[in-house]
Amino acid sequence: MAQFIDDKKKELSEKLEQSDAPDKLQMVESSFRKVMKELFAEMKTLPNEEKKDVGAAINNFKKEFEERIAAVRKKITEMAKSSSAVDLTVPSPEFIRGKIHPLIRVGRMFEDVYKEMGFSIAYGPEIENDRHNYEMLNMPYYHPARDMQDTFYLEYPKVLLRSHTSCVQVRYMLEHKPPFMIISPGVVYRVDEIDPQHTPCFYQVEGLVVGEGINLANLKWAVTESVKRVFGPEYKVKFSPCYYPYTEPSAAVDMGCIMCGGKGCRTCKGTGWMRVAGAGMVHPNVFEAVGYSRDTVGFAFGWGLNRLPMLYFKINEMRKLFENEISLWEQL
Amino acid sequence: MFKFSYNWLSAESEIKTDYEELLRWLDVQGFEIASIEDYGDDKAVEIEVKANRPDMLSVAGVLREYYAGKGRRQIKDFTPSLPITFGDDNSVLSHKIVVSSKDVHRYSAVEIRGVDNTGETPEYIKDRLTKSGVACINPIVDISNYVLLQIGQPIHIFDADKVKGDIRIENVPAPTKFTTLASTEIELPTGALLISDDENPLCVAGIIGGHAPEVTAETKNIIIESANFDHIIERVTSKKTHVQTAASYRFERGVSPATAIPGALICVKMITELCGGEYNKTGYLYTDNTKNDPQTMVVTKKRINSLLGSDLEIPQICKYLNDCFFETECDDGENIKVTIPDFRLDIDYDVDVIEEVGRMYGYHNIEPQPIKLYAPFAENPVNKNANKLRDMMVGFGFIEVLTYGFIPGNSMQMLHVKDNSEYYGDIKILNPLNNFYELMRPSLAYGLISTAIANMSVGKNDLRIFEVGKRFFRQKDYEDGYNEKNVFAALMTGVKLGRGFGIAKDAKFSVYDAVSLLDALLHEYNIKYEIKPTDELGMFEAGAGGDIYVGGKRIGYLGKIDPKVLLEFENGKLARDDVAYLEFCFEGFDETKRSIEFDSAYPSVTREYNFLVKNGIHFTDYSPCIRDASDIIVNVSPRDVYTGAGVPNGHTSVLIRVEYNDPTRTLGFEEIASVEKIFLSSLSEKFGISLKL
Repeated sequence: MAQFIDDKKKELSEKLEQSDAPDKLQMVESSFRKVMKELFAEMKTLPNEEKKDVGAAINNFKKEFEERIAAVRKKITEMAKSSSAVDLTVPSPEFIRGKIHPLIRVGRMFEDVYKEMGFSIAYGPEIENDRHNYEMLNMPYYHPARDMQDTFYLEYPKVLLRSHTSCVQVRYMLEHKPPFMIISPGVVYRVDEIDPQHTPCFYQVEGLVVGEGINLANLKWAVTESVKRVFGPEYKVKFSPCYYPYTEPSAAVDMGCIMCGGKGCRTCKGTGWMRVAGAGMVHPNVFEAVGYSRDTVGFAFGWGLNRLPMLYFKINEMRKLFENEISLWEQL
Repeated sequence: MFKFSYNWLSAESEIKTDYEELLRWLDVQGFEIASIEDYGDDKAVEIEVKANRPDMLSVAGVLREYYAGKGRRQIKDFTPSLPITFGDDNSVLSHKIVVSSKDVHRYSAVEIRGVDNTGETPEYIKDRLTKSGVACINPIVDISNYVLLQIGQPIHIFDADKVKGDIRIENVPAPTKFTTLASTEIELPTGALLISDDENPLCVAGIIGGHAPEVTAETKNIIIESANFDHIIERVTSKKTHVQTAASYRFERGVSPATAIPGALICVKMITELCGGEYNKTGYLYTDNTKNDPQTMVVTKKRINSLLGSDLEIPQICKYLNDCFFETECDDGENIKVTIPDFRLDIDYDVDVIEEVGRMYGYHNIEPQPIKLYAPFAENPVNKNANKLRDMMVGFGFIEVLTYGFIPGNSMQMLHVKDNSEYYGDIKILNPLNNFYELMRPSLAYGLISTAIANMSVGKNDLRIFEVGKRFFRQKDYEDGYNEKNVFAALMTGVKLGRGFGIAKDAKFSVYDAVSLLDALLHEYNIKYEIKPTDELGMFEAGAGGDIYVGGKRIGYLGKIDPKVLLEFENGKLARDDVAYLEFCFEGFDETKRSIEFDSAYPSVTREYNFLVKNGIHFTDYSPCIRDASDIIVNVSPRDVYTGAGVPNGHTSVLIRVEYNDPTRTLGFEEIASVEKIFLSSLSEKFGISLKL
């Protein structure tokens, strides 16, 4: 009997070793079950005193072989996995990546944040006149602050390309009464030769909040909060005295440098700060010009958006924003 | 900008100065440090001075600001005490001075006779001038520049022997030519302030001198002019003549009339000490009495705190103002009477005083407070649509570009746009950067085509790009005669679906994709459109362009860009594939509510028909024939168009899919066959369209 078991064992082992596919293994398994049946039937015919030892031998054989089969099955499954015809690391070219321009992307982040705060969005024309762009913003024709915004003209001195979106705010005030909270995003133009760090047009997001009780502390909140929501709570914001003809008091807004996190680097000229916006309480002369009472209170701010997307997406030259090299935008 | 030597500032101070402390204070107060030149034992510091603080354009001004931070309320008096009396007798000098302009606020003049201008300017003056960026010429001229930098008062000195007759100050009645010291000829605008003698123009008041009365080494007798001219005429003249000098820079921003006499006296003292000579004990002073008395105004504590969002008390407020050289008086704990120092020309309203309080308190000390205001919110449809279009385009695999609003002066010729087309642009910028950025774009086509070609020149030939922006046009009855609209434009060219993964051959973009894109975008707004073929624009290949109409109004156009147009662009020959273009105005688009019209429990049957259609007959013309054949036709859509082998000349093979459905029952084949018969015969009768066999 022991000899018989050994023979069967040997026979099955040979077959098992040659099993390299599920169907072959299945055949081995069914022969194994047949052999087991045979052995147990044979055992029953033995005298009682032999039954015990033979039974133990058969059971050992069964256990050992079941383990071996399981091991081979595992091996075969793994082999099947690694040699599948489907290579899931290959994307087909079916779905193409569409992208939104970096300036618009960052602009929309600001728009979304201000909308969450309750601001409405106001638009206005890019071809403007002197009245909306300068006169009504407390900048009469002789005002030296006009030098800050070298202007393109279509008809001198009356018709021009807006040098800021503050003229949208003027138009809005001419048509609406307070209280209101608006932002005016858009393209503005200034005479600036194109070179790596200058372009003759750029994006602004200006804000205007007019209503009773509005103060400089509210302005600080709105600007600080938008920086934290767009860029992250770790960014600090600094206000320092500044001058704009259309606001008084006026403030310059710096935020912690995006590149170095405020430690000081080449981008921020070692200061840890980047000038990102101008702001202030709206000048009574502006309110008077649009037909409001001089006692009206409100604040205004203006983000220059070209630099922020450059830093956000690590674009090294400003003019690249308008050169539209598609291989760059594809990486966005 | 103002540049000064730190040692000079230090020497004028009666208290010990600290360099680091000075820089820190200037920075905190918003006077940005533009540059620092290190001279070892001295530093030349250049600060940015905004238009409202011309008082900071002098060493005395910077010192005052430093003192403000230190709480020391008095700087030294720069005015020497000399036994000179000023009067309004205009004949006390060797030349009579005749002021006849309302733009002169002060005109003080003193004469010194017998000076020796052949010596050397003392080292300390040269050193201070050089570090301030001013060239040294001769002692008298250098002293006049020194006084300008020291107290901010521009000085002009005439060689008295070169002046012929009276000195007259008047506004020129008409544009007048003038040759400057630098020998350039400029044209003064009407109204400019000119100083002349009986024979020659001498100088443009407050801006630049001429050769005639120039002070040289040989000069013996001089007349010192220390005057105050109106900032508006100074600004206008400087702008129109493109001449900006240290003097004009200050005058156009504002110079205090109070420094006119001190300026003259400092000059007299320094010149007589260095060059000898004797001064006339009687000087001439013209004054129009502007800003003679100190200006005062009342500011309330309530207004200060409500504007700043602060909680300041009267003593604190007064301290801040006193530190800035303002005098204050407050009896009732609320109303503060403020006397403004004569050098602060920028303080016109209470808000100007409040800014002083705010900056002295420190903006960093103002705690941010959330806005507590109910303001109605209104959605901006243009903004919403622009963003919606962008998002859809991203889904379609397009990349957004931004191009300049101005395009080349000759771009209309390049694009072959006919000058009678609505899309012909002729709005030009008067002062463009160059003629490449001269014309306000009447469409986004130039920007997108040039962007596409620029990308082809770096090997990127398969492109799908879009832009959302303004187009500009003239409109006589609108505002200033110009109008602009928000438009959407897309350009596609090259491979849209590359071969492989079941595709046998590269599929490329064609004009049909522009139509498909339009259809997909407008479907989102439930807008029905019509495309009317036209060659009016000139930009598209003949027969391959059309206008887009919505509700009878043209909103844009689409087509295949004429290859001849592409060749007008540099590197245009790189565009080898069809370039399809689409542009439309999306203002007024509205997402109206929609309901799903068709929902059947019974299965649809779809059939495809390959028709042979004569060119010039359009799908929108003949498809109603099919649709109208029976109510069980629920959808008729084109699947393919083909010309070439097997299709007779002048024809196109069009594959059309028809969907049949009845929401009440399952359709039988006989029924479909009978409907087919109806539209096949009607197509053949009305349009000569037959099935392609």
